[in-house]
Amino acid sequence: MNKKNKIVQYITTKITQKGQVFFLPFALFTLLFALCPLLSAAEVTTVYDVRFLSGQHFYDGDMSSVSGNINVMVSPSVTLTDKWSVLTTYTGGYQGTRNVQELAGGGTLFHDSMYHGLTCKGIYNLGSSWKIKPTIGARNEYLRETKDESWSSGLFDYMKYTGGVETEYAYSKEIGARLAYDYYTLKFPNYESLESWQSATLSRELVGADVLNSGNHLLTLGGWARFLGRARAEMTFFYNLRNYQDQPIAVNLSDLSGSDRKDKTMALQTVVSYPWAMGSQWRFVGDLGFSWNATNSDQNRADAQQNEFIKDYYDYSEISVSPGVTAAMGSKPWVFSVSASYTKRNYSKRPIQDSDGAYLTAKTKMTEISTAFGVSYPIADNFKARFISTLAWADSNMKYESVYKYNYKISNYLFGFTYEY
Amino acid sequence: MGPLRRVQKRSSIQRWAYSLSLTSFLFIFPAAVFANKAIVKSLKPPAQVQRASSPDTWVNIKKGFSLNVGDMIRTGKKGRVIIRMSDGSKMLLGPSSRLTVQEYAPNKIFGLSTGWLKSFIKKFKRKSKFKVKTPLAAASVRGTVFEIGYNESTKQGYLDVSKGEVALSKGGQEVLLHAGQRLDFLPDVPLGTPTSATQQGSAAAARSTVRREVGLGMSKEQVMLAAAAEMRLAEYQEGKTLIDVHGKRVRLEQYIIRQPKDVTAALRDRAFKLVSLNDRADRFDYFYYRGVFNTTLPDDLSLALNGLTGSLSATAPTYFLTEYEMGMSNTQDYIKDNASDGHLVQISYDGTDFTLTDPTDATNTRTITEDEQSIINGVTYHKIYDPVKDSYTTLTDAQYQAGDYRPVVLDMSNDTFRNISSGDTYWRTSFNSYSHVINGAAKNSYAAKSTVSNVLVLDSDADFTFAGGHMLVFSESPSGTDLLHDQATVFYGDGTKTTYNNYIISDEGDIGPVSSFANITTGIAYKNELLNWNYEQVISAAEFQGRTIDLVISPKMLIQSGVIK
Repeated sequence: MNKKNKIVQYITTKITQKGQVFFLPFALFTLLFALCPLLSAAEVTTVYDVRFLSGQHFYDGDMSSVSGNINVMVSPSVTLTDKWSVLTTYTGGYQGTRNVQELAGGGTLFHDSMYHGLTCKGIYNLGSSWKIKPTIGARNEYLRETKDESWSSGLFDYMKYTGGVETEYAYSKEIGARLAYDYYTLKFPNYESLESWQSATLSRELVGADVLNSGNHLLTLGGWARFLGRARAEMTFFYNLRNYQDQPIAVNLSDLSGSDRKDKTMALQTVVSYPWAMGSQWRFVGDLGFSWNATNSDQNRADAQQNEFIKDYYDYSEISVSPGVTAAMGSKPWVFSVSASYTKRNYSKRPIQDSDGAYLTAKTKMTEISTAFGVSYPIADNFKARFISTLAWADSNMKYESVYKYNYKISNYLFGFTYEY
Repeated sequence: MGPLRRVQKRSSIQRWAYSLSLTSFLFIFPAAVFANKAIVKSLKPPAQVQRASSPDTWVNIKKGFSLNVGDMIRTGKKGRVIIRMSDGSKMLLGPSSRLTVQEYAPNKIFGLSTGWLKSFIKKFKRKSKFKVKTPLAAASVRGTVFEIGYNESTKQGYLDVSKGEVALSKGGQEVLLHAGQRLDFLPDVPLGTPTSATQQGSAAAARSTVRREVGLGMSKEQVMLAAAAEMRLAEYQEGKTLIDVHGKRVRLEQYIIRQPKDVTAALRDRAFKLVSLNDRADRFDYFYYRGVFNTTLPDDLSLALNGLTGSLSATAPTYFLTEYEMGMSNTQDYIKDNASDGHLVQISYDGTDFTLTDPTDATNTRTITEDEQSIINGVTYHKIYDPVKDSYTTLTDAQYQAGDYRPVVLDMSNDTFRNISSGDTYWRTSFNSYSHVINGAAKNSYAAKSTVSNVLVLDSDADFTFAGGHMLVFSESPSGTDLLHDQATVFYGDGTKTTYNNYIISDEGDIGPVSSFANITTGIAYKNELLNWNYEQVISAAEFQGRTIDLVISPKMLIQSGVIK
C-alpha cells in the first residue's frame, strides 16, 4: 500500500470509528487552513457568527440546572475568478440548555447535544442575472440522553450527507427567484430495531433493521421581492420525498409488507417584513410569517399494546402564524424584539386516546402558542450582550400521556453574548 | 502643487486659449479642450447620453465622449460607464443607473437618480467640493473611494466608504462615515449608525452577500433537519424509549407475531405471540406471551386479543385460549410459565353467589358464595371469592369495610373496568394444567384432579406441586411506605427463593408516590391509575447466580396477559 492509500485508510478509519467525534471537524478545519495559502491570491471574504448563551429551562414547573449553549458559524468565501467563487461554511455547536422547540413532548429526555456541519457551495455567475450553485455538505449530530452516556453512542446520533444544485435568477437587486434540487441521506448509526436482532421465533417476517435511515429528495422553489417601497416578502416552497430504505410498511396488527415506507412532505413558508421609524431615536422592523406544511405517509401503525391497527397514522397538516417586531433605540442601539407564534397541527387519521390509552373516534389535534422576548446591546465592535426568554403552551385533545406529553407549559431563558462579523 | 492647483492652472490656460480661434486651439492644444470636462474613458453598452442642449434626445455614448454640465447619462441592464475627470479622479456608473452632471467647476456635483456609482476621487483642496446627490441624500467627499447607490422605485439607498471620509446628509441630518463603514438610507427614516466593515473595497457588501448565501443554505438545512427530528419525535410518541428506575435509558419495542414458528404447523393459524423487548446499554431483557386459540384467528387480531383473559358477555366468546406460554429472560436466565387444556368457564352472578359452569358439560358446575363470613374468637372474617382471578382472599371485618373487594371486570363496551354486578355473565378461560419453571427447575405447578373433566375453581379442582413440597410468600416495602415499590419473596421448600421487586415508575424513571393511589380503594380505580404509569419488575432467583431479569413493560400488556390481576 502506498503512502497516499495509507493516509486515506487512516482518515476513513478515524471518521468511521466510534468516539472520534471531534476528528471530523478537526480534519475539515485542518484541510481548510492548509488550503488558505494556496488561496491567498484570490479574494477571500469571511463571515463569523459566534453565540454563547447560558440559562435554564422550566418544564411544567420542573427547573433544570444552569447550562450553556455555544453555536459557531464560520464561512469563508473565496472568489476564484470573475465567474467562480466557493463558499465553505462550518457550523458547530454544543447545547446544554435546550430551546423550547426541543423540549416539546418527549424532548426532555435529552441531556445535551453537539453538532458539526460543513458545506461547500460553488457559485458560478452565468451573466449578471443567473447563478448556478452546486453544493455538497455533511453534518453529524450527537445527542446524549443520560449523563453517563458518551459522545457518539447516543441512540439518535445521526449523519446527514447532502449533494445538490441550485439556480438563482435575480431580476434586479430587489426581485429574484431560486430553484434547487438536493438529495440527502440520513443515517442513524446507533439505531437498529430491536426486533431485527431476534431469532425467527421472536420476530416477524420482513422486519427491517435500519428503520430510521432514509434517502431523500428535496425540491426548493423560492422568490423574494420588495413592494410598497420598503416592504419585503419572501416565499419558499419545499417538496420533500423521504424514502425509508429499511422500514417495511405495517399492513395489519401483526404483519409487515415487502414495501418500504415513503413520506411526501410539502411546506410553504412566507415572511413579510416592513421597516419604519418613530422620531429620530426609534427604528422598527415588523415581521409576519406564515407557514403551511403537510405530510403524507404510506406507513401505518400496529399498536401492539392497545391491539389497534391505525392506517395512515403519520399523516398530518400544520399551519403556523408568527408575528414579531424588532425595535432599535438610539445610535448605539439597544435592540428589543418581541415575537409570538401560533401553530396548529391536525393528524387526519390518528385517533385520540383517553388517559388510559384507549382509542376514541376523534382525530388528534395539537396547538402550540409561544411568545419570545429578546434584548441585545452592543458592548464592543461586533459584540453584543443578549438575553432571550421564551414561553410556550401546548394543548391537545390527546389525553394519553404515559409515554409522551401533549399538554404542557415550557419556558426558558438564555443570556450571554454574540459576535457577528 | 496639489491636484486642485493643477486644475486651476489648466483653467487659466483654457481661459487664455479661449481668446484664440477655436480651430487653432484645437489643433495646438487638444488636451486642454478636455481638461475641464469629464470624459468617458470606457464603457460597456448599452449606455446613452442626453445632452443638456438636446433634452429630448438620447444618443449612444462612445469612448472619449465629453460630458458637460446638464448632461445626463443612463446605462442599461448590463451597461457600465467609466468616467475620468480632469484631475484624474474616476467614477464607475453601474448598470440600470442614471447620472446627471449638475456642476463641474470648481465643485463637482453629480445627481444619481437611480442605480449606483462608485467614485475614486483624487485629493484636492478643501474649499472645493465633490458631491453626489440622490433624491434622498447626498454624499460629500474630499479624497476617498466610495460607492453610493439609490433605487428610485423603492426610494432606498446606501453609502459604502472604502477610503477617506464621506459625509452623508439627508433632511438636515449629517452622518460622517469613515473608511470601511456603510450606511443605508430610507425615506422617512432618520439616518442610523454606520455599520463596521473592513478596509478592503466594499467588504461589507461582500460579507452581506456571503451571509445571504449562508442563509439560503440554512433554510434548506432546516427542512432536512426537521426530517431527522420528526423521526425522533415519532419514537417518543410511540413510547419506544424511556428512563428506568436506575436512571438508564431503556429502549422498548412491543409487537405481535402471527403464526409463530415455534408452534406446530397444525395450530399455527390459531396462534400469536406478543413480544416486548428491553434494551439498555449493558443488557437486554425480553418478555413474550405466546397463545394458541380455539380456532383460526381473524384478520383483525384485536377481536381475539381483547378478550384474552375473559369477557363480560351474555354469550360465549368466539375466541378463547387453549394454551399459552409466557417467558421472561435476560438472554441467559429465564422464567417460563406454561398452561394447557384451556377451556371456557361461564360465571353467572346473582348478587350473592357465583355459579360456575363448564359450557361443554352442564353437569360440571359449582356455586360459590361471594362473601363467606365466619366468626373466630369473636372476630368477624370475610372469605371473598374473585371469579376473575379464581382466588380467595380472607379479610378482617375492618379491612373488608375499608375497601371495595368486589370483583373487577373489563367492560369491553366502553373499555373500562367496573365491578361485576347482579345479572352479569362473565366468561373466563381456565387451564387444566400449569407449570412455573426457572432455568429448567420446576418451582410450582398444578394439574386437574383425576375426578374433574375441566377445572372450574383451582382450589377445589386441581392438585398443586411445589419445589420442596411447599411455598411461602413474604412481602415488604424496601423503599418505604411512601413509594410504590414492593418486594415479594417466594420461599420454596427446597431452600431456594425468588424475589420480585415491582416498581411503578414514570417515564423519567421516578418511582411513583403512594399518594398517586391514595384515594383508590377499588380494583377498578387501581387498574385505571396503573395504566398511567410504567411497570418495572426486577426478578432475582437462586438459579440466576446473582443476575437479574429486569423488565419495563406497559401495565396494559401485563393486565392483558394476566400477570397483573
